[in-house]
Amino acid sequence: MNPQYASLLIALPLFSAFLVPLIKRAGKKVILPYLTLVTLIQTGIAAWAFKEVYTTGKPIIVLAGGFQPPVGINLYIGHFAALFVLIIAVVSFFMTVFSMKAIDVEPIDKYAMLFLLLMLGATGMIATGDIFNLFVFMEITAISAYALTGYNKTGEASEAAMKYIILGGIGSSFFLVGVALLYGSLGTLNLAQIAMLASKMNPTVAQAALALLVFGLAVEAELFPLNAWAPDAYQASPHPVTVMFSAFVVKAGLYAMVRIVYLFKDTPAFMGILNLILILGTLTVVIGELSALRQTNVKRMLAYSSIAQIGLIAVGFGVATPQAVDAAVFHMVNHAIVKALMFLAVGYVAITLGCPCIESFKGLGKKMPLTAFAITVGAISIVGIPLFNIFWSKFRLLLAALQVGKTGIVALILGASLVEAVYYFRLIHAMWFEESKDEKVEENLAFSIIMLLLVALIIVIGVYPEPVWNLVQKAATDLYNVANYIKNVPLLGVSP
Amino acid sequence: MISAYYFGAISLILIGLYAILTKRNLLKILVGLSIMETGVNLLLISVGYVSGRTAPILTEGATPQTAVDPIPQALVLTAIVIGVATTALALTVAINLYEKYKTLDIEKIRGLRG
Amino acid sequence: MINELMIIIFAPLLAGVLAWLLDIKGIREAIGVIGAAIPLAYLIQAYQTLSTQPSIQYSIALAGFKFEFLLYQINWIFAMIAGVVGFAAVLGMVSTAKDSYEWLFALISLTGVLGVFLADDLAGFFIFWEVMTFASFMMVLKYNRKASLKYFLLSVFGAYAMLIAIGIIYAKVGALDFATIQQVLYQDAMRGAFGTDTLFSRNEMILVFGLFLIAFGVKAGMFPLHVWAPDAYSETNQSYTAMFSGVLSKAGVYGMLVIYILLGTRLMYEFGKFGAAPKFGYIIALLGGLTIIVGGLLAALQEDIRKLFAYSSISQIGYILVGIGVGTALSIEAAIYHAVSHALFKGLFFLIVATIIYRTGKTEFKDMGGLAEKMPITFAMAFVAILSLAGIPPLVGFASKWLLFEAVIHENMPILGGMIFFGSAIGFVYLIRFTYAVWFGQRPTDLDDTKDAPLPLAIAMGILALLNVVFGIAPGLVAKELNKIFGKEVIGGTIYELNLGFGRYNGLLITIWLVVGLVIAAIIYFLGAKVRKVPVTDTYQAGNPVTMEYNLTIRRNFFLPLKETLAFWLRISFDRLYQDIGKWIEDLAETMRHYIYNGSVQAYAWYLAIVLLILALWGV
Repeated sequence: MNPQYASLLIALPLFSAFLVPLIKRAGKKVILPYLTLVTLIQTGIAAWAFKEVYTTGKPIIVLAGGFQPPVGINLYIGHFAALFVLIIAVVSFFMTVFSMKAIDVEPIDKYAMLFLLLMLGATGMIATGDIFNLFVFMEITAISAYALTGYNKTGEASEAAMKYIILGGIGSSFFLVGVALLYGSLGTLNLAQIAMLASKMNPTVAQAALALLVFGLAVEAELFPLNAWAPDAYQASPHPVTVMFSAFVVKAGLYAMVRIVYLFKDTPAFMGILNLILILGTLTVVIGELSALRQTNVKRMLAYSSIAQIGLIAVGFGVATPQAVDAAVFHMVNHAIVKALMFLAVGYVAITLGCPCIESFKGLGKKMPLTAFAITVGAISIVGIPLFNIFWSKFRLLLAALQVGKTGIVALILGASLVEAVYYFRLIHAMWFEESKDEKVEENLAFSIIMLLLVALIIVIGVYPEPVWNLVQKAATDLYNVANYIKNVPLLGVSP
Repeated sequence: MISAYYFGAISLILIGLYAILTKRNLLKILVGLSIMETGVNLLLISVGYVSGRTAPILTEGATPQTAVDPIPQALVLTAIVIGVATTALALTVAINLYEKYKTLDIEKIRGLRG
Repeated sequence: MINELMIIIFAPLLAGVLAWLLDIKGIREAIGVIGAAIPLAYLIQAYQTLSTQPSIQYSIALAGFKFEFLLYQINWIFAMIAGVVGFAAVLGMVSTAKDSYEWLFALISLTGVLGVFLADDLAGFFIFWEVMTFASFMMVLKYNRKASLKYFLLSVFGAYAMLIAIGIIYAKVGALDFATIQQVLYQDAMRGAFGTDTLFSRNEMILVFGLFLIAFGVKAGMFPLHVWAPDAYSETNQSYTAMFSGVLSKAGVYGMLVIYILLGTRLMYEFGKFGAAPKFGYIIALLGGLTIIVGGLLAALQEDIRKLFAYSSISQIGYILVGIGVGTALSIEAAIYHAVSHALFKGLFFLIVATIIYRTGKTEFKDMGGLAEKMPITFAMAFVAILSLAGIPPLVGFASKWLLFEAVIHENMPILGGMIFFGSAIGFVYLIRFTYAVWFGQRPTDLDDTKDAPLPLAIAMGILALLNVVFGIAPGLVAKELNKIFGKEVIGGTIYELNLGFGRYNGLLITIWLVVGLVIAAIIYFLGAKVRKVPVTDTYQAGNPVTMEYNLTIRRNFFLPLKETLAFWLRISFDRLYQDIGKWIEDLAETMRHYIYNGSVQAYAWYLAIVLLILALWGV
């Protein structure tokens, strides 16, 4: 197949989103199945692109309209993007299934539309090779995320959405200022060309531009102290949307940040920006974990935990040795799997028992054994017990950080992990060893299958991390090896 | 001359930020957000501005040498559209918030915390 | 071919998972016992191999790490401890385990500890360490939330300390396998000795050593990191505790040996010696000595037999740490010897406790008494265990304690010697209580139809008791294996005799004399015994008048005077200190959270503005 078909990754959700009003005429009942179908096709395409990239070892470059970059906008589906686009598609597919039960507020057609746009935006952010295009996709993601956060239309949902809008708005404005600075001094928006010209840029301007870009994206990537919207948005948005936030929306922001920063690898501005990311990441881990400690709302607790894990990934990127980037990408993948599972299970508990508060979880082992089991596996994994997937990435990450002598940061992070162990311990204890009067609930087959699938993934990666680790290393190299990135994009007027 | 545009843009951004940081009325905050976005747009435009040239529209007598850089203008168009969408959404949410909380005072809309 | 080391390590895990999945009563027990027997069988078989070759090696690549496993003399001994005591504990669990959950995690923890012993690289060591910790944590979690949380937190704290230490080593050395690390550090010490720059700075060495000390100290229950142990040991299935205290705590001890193996030369170069002992070792020894005293005293004050033996365990581990800390060949051998004997008699003790609880359902002294008559087999076992722990010849406890004492005194270390001596004395103090209050005296009427130990427990106890006696009478059996560690005859003598050159102990001779003495005593007893009626009030009260307020029977508050004497010291509690710190952190976190995430979007916008400001200032 022609690699240019990879543009369908963007085109399909976009067109499908705008087909939703037409589909609605056929009846409201078909909307969610339609959504499932679209995400399934998207998964298929993503899987094809994934296979293509990993078998040929070469990235797919999609040229929009056939114009060569930097005149035209290109998509760059390298190892990293291929992997993550697949994750996005798969998680989205699972979430469409979950939505069938979890979403009962009208208008369902708007939900479907926003859902597809959210998926589209995240995919685009990861796949694009142009910084302004990145901004557009970021805004698509953000606006659909705002709307989805407020989708339930309760006071809390609206409040969370408003906070998200205001903070996101400030962030994206400054991101744009950063873009303006870059364009003003380099005269290009193409990422590959920016990387090529980066060393010619005035270091002060470069630093300022990077700082602004990092600032803007850090709001999306929920790094402390720019993450204040996140716990509210996680808590108030519909359960499937929370899963998507945690599994890929935030990560897309983080990816974009890292991609842009790494373009400037050979410039003097780089080290300063790395330190910035490192500091933000460490703060995020510590504050996130401490905040989760005494939460009574389990969803909010997971939100804080999720924030902390993102901070950990950011620390990995901030260390920026090849090993650290490998580990950070690995952690990204693992965290996507685990948090998808956790938020799914917690959301399922919330819709079945009415509330994601800790009371619902008392005696969950008797009420919903499978869900409780899934949450337990997820929690154990996050805490970093060996033979579960997150252990490997955490271990790798810490080794990488120690290798460059960041002992203090490692100690801080581990201290925070100790806190993490405490609150997950409480959750597990509440689920299995506390009594509850409620009856046993029949668990939904589809959800059970999804949860078991994710649990199996966690354990398989935990016991035999080799294959995923190899994939992840390639993906990380794609991120880290900027020279290769430049070489792969067929820039006009630059001999290959 | 250019520096005047930059000065104007940065002032707008700061004015917007000031509104967001100090006004307690939600609508004023949203206005501040819009002003800030306008400032950013102005900044983008002025980046591509070349003194004494015309708009980059293909008319008679217009050549690439006489027009300003078209890319920032295209960008700003997009950014404006995005800004409008954000503002529209924000206002919708604001209406909803007012219905639920019966106030637009941002200090009183604090249901989610901690 | 599947390597035998892999079988040794993973057989229990596999059996545990199988037992858990099948969950049929009868079958899961059988699978569990087989799962624990396989490693034992292979370990015994490995003895043959080890007599012809120095080690059995195996390596496996996973996740970018190469995991090395090596079986050689030192860890063979430790693995044998795990094999034997683990097997006995699992046998005991046949009677006492309530569901498949316990089978799963008990066997996983056996896998973990075997893995720790056999691992030959730090990554594998750490992973199995975590597996072991986690599984044992799950065993406690089922019984008690608070105890398990304490255990878990301290363990994770220790594990993270170890992780950082491993990371530092990895960052400097670039490898994780023991052989390379040992070699690099040895060369580093040489480099230091020649006055060139060393790879590790002094501070780094202090840090690495401190972190390892914390990590292993937690697991071994070393003072002041022991606070988890009394609760965790007592709040779980007591058959499992036989393994928990007998084997898992040995992982900490083994870890201390690993410090010697990996870092010994380098640490010795950096910090020098204190007398005959290396300075870093002396720290371990001193902490070990404090552990003996604290554990022993607290054991005497307990009213619950589970707690008593939990504290006693802590105290006994202290002996081993003293031996390791002193760091001469003799003292290390003595320490390992004591590790063997502690595993044997403490495993036996906890199985006895398990039997008592299984049959009576009681755990406190005040509810017991006169059980010797009803449970003669268990009592016989208890008799062996008591003599062994108290260090009375000809049991294994005597041999090892004697060796330790000789080793310490020989190096002229009076403080440590005094601590050991004090420990032995206090051992008598708490054992007296266990001996009398449980087995003799008046029996509460509700214990009148108590039955003796169930068969699996009886077999398990029998195995351990037999070994207690055999290794006591023939201490040379153990000493021979210990000598292989250093490849020379550190402890001389024959099978029945230990000869240190400056002291001798002959197990067989003492046994013979003992038997002769017992025969004479029996003759006197049977000739002169008369039944005498005793009134209930005729009890030993240490000269105090018996009132209800100050009622010191052997079953209730027997050591209250001791407690009152120590009142000042008992107020210092590390347990409370840690709890206060925990609570303080939690309160702080809550305040901080409410302050930062205060709900006002304007405040959040300010955060953004402040970050921008900082960026602007920093950019200039």
